[in-house]
Amino acid sequence: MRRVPVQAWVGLALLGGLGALSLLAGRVFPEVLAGACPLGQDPTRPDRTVCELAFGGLWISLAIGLAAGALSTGLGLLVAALARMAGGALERWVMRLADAFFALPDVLVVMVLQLAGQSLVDAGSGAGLGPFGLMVVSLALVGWAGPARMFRNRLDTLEGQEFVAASRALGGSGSHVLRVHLWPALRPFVLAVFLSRLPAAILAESTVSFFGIARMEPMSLGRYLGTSYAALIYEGGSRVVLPAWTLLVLLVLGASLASQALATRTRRA
Amino acid sequence: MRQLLVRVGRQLVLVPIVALASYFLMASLPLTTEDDNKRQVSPELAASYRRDLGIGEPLGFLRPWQKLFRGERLGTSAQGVTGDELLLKLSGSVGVGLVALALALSWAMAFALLKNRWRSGRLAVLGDAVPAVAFGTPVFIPALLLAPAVVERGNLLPELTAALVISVWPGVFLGTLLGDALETELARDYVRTAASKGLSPGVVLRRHVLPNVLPALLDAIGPVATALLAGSFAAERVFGLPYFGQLYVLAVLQKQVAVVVVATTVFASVLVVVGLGVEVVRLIVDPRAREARA
Amino acid sequence: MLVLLGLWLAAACGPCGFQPDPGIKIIIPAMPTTLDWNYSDPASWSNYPVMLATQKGLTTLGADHSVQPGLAERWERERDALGRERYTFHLRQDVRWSDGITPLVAQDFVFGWRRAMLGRERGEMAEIAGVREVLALQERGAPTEQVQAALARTGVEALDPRTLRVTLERPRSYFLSRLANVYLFFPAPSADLAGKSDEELRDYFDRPRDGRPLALGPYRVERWDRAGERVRLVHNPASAFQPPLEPGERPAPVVTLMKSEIGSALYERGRVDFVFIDSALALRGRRPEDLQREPLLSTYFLAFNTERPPLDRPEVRRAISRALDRDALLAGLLPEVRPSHVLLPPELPGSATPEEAALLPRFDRERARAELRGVPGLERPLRLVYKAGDSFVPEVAIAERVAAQLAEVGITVTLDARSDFSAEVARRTPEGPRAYDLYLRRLGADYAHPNTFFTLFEREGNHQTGWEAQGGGEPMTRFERLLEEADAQADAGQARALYAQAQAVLLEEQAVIAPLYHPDRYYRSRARLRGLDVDPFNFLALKSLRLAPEAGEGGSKP
Repeated sequence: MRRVPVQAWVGLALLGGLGALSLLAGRVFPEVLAGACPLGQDPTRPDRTVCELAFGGLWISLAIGLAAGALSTGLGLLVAALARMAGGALERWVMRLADAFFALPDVLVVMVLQLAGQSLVDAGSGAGLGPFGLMVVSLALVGWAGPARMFRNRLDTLEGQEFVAASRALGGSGSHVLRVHLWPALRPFVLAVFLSRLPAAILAESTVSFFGIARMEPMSLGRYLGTSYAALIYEGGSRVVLPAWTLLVLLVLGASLASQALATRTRRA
Repeated sequence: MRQLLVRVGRQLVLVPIVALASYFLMASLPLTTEDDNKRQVSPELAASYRRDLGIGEPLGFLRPWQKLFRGERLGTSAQGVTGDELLLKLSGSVGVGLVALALALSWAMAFALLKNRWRSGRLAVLGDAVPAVAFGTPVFIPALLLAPAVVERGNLLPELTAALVISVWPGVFLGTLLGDALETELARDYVRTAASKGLSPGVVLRRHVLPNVLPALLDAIGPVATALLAGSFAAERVFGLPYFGQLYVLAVLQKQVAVVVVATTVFASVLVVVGLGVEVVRLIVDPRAREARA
Repeated sequence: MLVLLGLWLAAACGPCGFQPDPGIKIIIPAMPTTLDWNYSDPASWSNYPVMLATQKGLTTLGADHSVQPGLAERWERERDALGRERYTFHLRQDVRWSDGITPLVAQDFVFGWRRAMLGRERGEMAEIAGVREVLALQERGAPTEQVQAALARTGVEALDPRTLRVTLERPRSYFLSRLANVYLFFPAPSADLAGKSDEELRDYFDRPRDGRPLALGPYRVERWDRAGERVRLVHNPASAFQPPLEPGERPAPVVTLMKSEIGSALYERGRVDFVFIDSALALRGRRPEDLQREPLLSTYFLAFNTERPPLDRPEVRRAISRALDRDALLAGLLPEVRPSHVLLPPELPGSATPEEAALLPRFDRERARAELRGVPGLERPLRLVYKAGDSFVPEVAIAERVAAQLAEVGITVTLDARSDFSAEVARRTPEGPRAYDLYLRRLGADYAHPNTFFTLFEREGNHQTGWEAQGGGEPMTRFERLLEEADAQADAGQARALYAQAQAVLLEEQAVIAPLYHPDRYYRSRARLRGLDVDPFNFLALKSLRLAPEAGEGGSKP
């Protein structure tokens, strides 16, 4: 195994650290932050501290990012694998559809899907999805296209390599080739793609929440920023916005560092 | 030539796909129950929904467009829009977007050159940190920080600031790509040859390196346009700019579904136009594309 | 390249090239939901500033809330043979619509009021004779001809162009003060509107252009930019109701009502002239000198869905009302608060006496806990719906504290902030009852009379609590009878006692709502704007706005 780049380790450590921190601060010992937050109370929810809300939001945002990222990566992988196995015109059309999806901004499509999803939930046919489930599903439905395109291209490259051709010539079936030869080579790439979807999902959620379209409760980082952004223009308002903003930036920094480093490595592989 | 047509066709097909997908998604929403007790929206909204989307008609999906071209209103009287309003709003957004694109290109250049300079030094880490900070900052935060200074000042100040705010992340993103391409190109032999002939670094960059980097830049314009569009929603809202992004957000919030269908398709068309523009530019500047045509 | 792009931008954006709006700029918290004053919208409060500046009622209210002549110069009031109350209004001769030509005629009222009887707030018209039939027909979905025929039978007639006769099904002591403020009763320019289809009518009002819609008040709407969230009003020189000018003062030629997320920052920088101060952060920081507070005739309350168990039992609702510590709910949120457990604000003429108020459910946590012990159905979490977005009522904090206080008596509450609040509260589940459990809402007086606080909870009211079906409908019938007697009562003391009884039915016996506090409004306004203020009804009042003489004071606009 080649050495995993330092940046990837830094990124993954950052992500893991933030996750542990949000679990500890937001979930396991919430009373610590409620009692001792140097930044004081939140103006619109005076019974909560700024730290409590920021770390609680971090937990929700991470959960959304992980769930939506995993779902969209899985969906993308599935579509790519199916398209690759089917081949021919079907593959071209599926990829065309993926391109169409990928061309539109995430935020726009999530807005439309939220409008649709909320109407369905209100009509009592939301299949038991709460605001959280709805957001994860909309983000996954938006996010599959990019990964699908990347996986297909990657599979294409891998299949062109000699050991695959050799395995095929020796009578290996499609699924055998996929399982034994392609999947191990694809694995780090899957991780990289997943990590690249993570910040994208978190940011799309935060922007949509800023418009007041999604109804995340408890609040995600984005919704927290979105509901308290007005504080930015008041004296002393930065203490409300800064922690959430910093956590968001760190989260994105961790995920993109790791994903870039992994993707570069696999590209050079 | 055939290859060019295929590429153009591939882009164009996006418009009908989006038009149909958004129409059928909206038309399947349970907003128009006849039963008063289950109705979630006002009777006016439900009526406009049925009328504008031509629910139950065989060619219903053409109905919003038909109304649009006839100059009729889409949506309810209080919140709907007509075709000419839509066009007016779009022109504003496109203007902001073009300025933002120009700004993004200059950020990209600047960042790529800086990144190249930082590469070896202690500042190398900035090359990774700056994109992360730019990416991790939702557009509405810098927008809100700048808004009090420019809103209601006129003289295109809010527009230009909006363009500035939304161009940062796409610019940095573009700059990262450009920086990688530059790195690859600068390591090539022809650069060393040119430099050894005594050409100044600036001339080498301008005359030899940039034309070779340009295709990579063109490839990235599409995603950048998408990112600019996404940023424009938040920026227009914060700067109080009555343009297309704001119209779109309000249409979603107020469940003006026919407006959502039309506006989504218009967004897709704008992206397609950008894509076509990129193809044309590629044809002009990239000899490889010209060769392919020949 | 940049220059080229700039040129292109200027060319493409010539007409819209977004300039700051001219004139006086006023930040309002919400855009109007419609400009169609007769058809209206349940979220009508946001429409009031525009309607009150551009239109006029048959009567007006004096500074002491007494009824004064408005569009009608005088009227007669009598009982007819059936015991109904009949008003004959004689219209002023000199009133013209804002085109300066069309005179105001009695037919304008008939036209407008009939539209109101079909509109989204038609329940408000129910006191006019014959309207209940129109409402019932619409409820049943009767054919248009039948509804039209019933409309023609209602008690609004134009005897001649100058005389309007209105018949009420019963005597109503508050009717004349309603006519002054409730914009559903304003006339519509029938000469412009006759023969238009429903859709064209709606467009006439909601899409201002070419000087339409016509206005009677000192302003008319010139432009409504929906995406820009601005309404531009211009001075109407043809109006018979000009602001009272003192020497050197002049009317404001242009007034722009706009919405902005950063209103108070713009005010600080001198770019807007009036702003409501609603943010908790702004109110808790250093208090600016020009900050003003207006106590509102208004009540913020928690309402129960009386159709869904466990809230279908009055004793459970009463216990929840007792579980709420109003002082703690509001502590530290605003510079000053008036916590309350009564519906009628004490300063309202005709509100309950302290002794009567003391009998209504008030905070008593131990008793609430005892009453709620062992009540079946309380294991289910209750969904509390409140309005999403900014409000001068600190709704988020109150909702969170309500949830926390109810948790102490063993009730789980989940919070649901909705931007489509009124639709969500009205929404029913497939099984029949409405889908919410609890909602938070502010009720504001439309005029200074106890009646205004009760209309919401009448059978046709928009209360959405389903309490009309409680106890087989008997309490509602009794409640309405009490109100009718009180409304018809000429003696103020006796009317007050009857209103107090009605309040007791609503708050104590049936416990349909739990009042929480009486809100105030804070705002800042430039000194050179005279006559611009917020009244106790929370209406931004533009009708007497005028500009002080220029005295070198900077201001934002020349």
